[in-house]
Amino acid sequence: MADAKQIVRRLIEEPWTGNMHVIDELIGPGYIGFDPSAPEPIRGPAGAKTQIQQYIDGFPDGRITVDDQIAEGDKVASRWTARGTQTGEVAGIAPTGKGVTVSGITISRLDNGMVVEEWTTWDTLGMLVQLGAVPAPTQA
Amino acid sequence: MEGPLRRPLDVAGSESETAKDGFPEIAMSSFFASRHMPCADCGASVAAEERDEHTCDPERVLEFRLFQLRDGVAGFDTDLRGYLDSPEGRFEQWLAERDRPSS
Ligand SMILES: [Zn+2]
Repeated sequence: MADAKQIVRRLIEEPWTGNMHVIDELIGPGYIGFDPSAPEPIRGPAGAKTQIQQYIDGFPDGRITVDDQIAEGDKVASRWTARGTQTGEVAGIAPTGKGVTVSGITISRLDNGMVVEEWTTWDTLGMLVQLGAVPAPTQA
Repeated sequence: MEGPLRRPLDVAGSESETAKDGFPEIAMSSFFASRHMPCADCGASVAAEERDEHTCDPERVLEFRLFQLRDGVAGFDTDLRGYLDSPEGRFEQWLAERDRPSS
């Protein structure tokens, strides 16, 4: 069986390089994912594809790099950085052409070589600030 | 959902009035600060520790400005055709034709 860290790394990085098939390959049918930007839990490979695709549409040149990983038992924690230029609509924000860099942490639970559960926390506010969607606070 | 609530939020350039040294003033605030901010001139994502050294790539500045103007660029042909069909445009064409030096 492939190394758990490698499975999770491929799942985080490869959809952004054009390989959406990696989701069917490595996400279990009963998958459930939690992401602060999704109002409801993300369910199954189809739900994961929809969740990722909305950001790929907003940042077509985007890339995610896994910076660090820790594995224990059936879980892998990954710290990652996403970079991209917003040339598509994202979160209701019209394209700005601005470059954005955000970081996040994903904890993935694996079963039989597939990811079946994920908890992601990422810098959603940072993305909105960088895109100019959060009003600039006045300085004291 | 339909109606104005679904209209994309147009925030491009909205921070320009508060721009300072090429970066929006929002970056100076402590709570809402993001380590990376887009350069106001070229749109590149620049980390806080690299801000002083950042110089804009002229090609990127051009691409960024053209991106901001994309609606105007895309509508240029339509606008031009509309103008040429207007009384003013038709008169200008007639005048240009009349004044063209004969070869
Ligand atoms: Zn710049």
